[in-house]
Amino acid sequence: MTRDVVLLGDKTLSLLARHLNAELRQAGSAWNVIDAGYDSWLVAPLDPRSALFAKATAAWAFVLSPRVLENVPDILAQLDATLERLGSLSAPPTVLFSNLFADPLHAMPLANNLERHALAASVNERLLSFRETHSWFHVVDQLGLVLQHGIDALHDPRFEATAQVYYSPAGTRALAALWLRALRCLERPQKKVCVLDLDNTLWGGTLGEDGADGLQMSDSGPGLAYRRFQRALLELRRSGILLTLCSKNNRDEALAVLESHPDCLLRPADFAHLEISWDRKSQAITRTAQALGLGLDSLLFVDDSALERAEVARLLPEVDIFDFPDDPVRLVGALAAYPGFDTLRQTEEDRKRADAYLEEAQRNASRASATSAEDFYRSLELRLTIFSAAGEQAARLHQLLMKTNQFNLTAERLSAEEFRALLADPAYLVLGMRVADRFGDSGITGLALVDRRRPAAWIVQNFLLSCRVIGRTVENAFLAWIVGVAARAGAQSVAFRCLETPRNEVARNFLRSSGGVESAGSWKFDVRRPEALPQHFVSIDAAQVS
Amino acid sequence: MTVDESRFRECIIRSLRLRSGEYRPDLRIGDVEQWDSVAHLDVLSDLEKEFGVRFGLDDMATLTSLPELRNWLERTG
Repeated sequence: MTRDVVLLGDKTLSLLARHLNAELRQAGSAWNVIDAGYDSWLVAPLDPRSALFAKATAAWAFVLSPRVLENVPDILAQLDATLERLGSLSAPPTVLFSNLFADPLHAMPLANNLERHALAASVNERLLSFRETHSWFHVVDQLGLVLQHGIDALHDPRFEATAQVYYSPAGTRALAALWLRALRCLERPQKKVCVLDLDNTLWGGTLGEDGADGLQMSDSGPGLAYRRFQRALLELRRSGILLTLCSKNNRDEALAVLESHPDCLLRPADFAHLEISWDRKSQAITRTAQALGLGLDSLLFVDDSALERAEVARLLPEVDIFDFPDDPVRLVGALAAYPGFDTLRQTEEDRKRADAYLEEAQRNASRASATSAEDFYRSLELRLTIFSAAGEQAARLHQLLMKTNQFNLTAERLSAEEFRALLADPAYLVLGMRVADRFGDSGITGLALVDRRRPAAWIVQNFLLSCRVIGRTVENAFLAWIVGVAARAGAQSVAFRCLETPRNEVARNFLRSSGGVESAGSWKFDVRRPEALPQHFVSIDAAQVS
Repeated sequence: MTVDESRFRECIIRSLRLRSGEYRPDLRIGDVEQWDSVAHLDVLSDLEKEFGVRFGLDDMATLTSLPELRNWLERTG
């Protein structure tokens, strides 16, 4: 099924629409680009008959040229009016808005361009602050594209004069590549793990041959390329991507470098999993995925050796292979060019994710020393907050719906627009769940879509939890709470839908052992028999359920 | 310059994403559905890149067929 995205701009975007559609088809995307026509960005959002309001339209994309800074009187007021209009729509589409840059080719550039740049910066600031409060609004970094390639490479005044296009045909191709990445973010799951080699990947040189002192990763000279790459990897980690190691080395020697080499920025605690051995890399990567509870298709493998890359590509075709550059100075550029980690927005949970794996290791240590499972659960001091999804949290919950594979009863995905429609439907209870214990706050890690259209027989259309929080009776508590609230609302039963997928065995097993009765693809729980529900050791706060 | 016909043909086929059999040496804008005024921008830009030339504004408006483009390249390039 295709989903339409309408392009709105101040210039003609038909060439962009054409190239973008060709790229989207080639990538197997469901997006279909429609051009709203020349100078449509101010008028079309006000016209209910425009393509924007057609049924198949799922997203609006504003692609503005720097000419708006010159041609639109009071651009800030116009922008505010447009944003206000977007904010007032009862069922807003997904909106992508390009940030702006000023074209410096003007009379007296030294004197006059500074204010032009400041105006562009004000526009961009307003876009960011609107994005802050509207989960369906995204900003696409057109400014970054222009800084990378330069206006001379992207713009050609001859084409602007003959065809009213700001971007030249070559520039349009580069712009289409950017918008392809942005639109793909909205329909495919982000990769979660960056699996890293050590020698000639995190540092220059080979530990076994050059020794720790001979490794290059210092702030100057040939080590700088590796140091900058390490810094970029730390940024990935802060943005929610897990780093793991996969190196053929003597474990103790490699760990000694990571622990104490003065030039090494990455430390052992930065990695969610370590594989340092002489085993085949395909085996080490398989163990990595298992240890993290993630599918192989969540992984990117980064290794300078073409041989190792070929081995992993052949035996583990689901794993993405990093296009390792010939020259290490291009490492950061190659990482920026890799689209698998693309996302238009980061949630608080993303930023916490890497630390969450450390907390989990502490939990496991505590589990090992507990005398019984019950003791262990009690010692965790688990706290569950259940809330009705709204506003800010909606983006995170939708992300969870799109990303969760294993503890997911149906693995049915909803587009952002479909998800927002459920939020607005009073017959549905869209519940989010936060988990914390004494080791840390895991953030928003659970979702249930409760269908109350038949008041006596509620149906949980989907129920899913992040793998990070299962196995601590949190799933039992969430299920029991839903059954309890159904009972209080006068329902007789709650049925949890369950569809078998190749990945969701853990969720199906949970449901099977939870005291319900199976019939026709769902498990039904009798609200009059709460004693049959599974035990939990969690305190629940549901004050924010409306 | 003498225009290498096969290089010219390949450039046009790539630029317009023509299917096999659609190319004719005397095509003009509008003869095939792929070649409209929007695709014409790509044709001009791709020929410039392929043959290292630069069309003037007037040329861009008047060169609307393969014979015209070929002649221009032979005359100017």
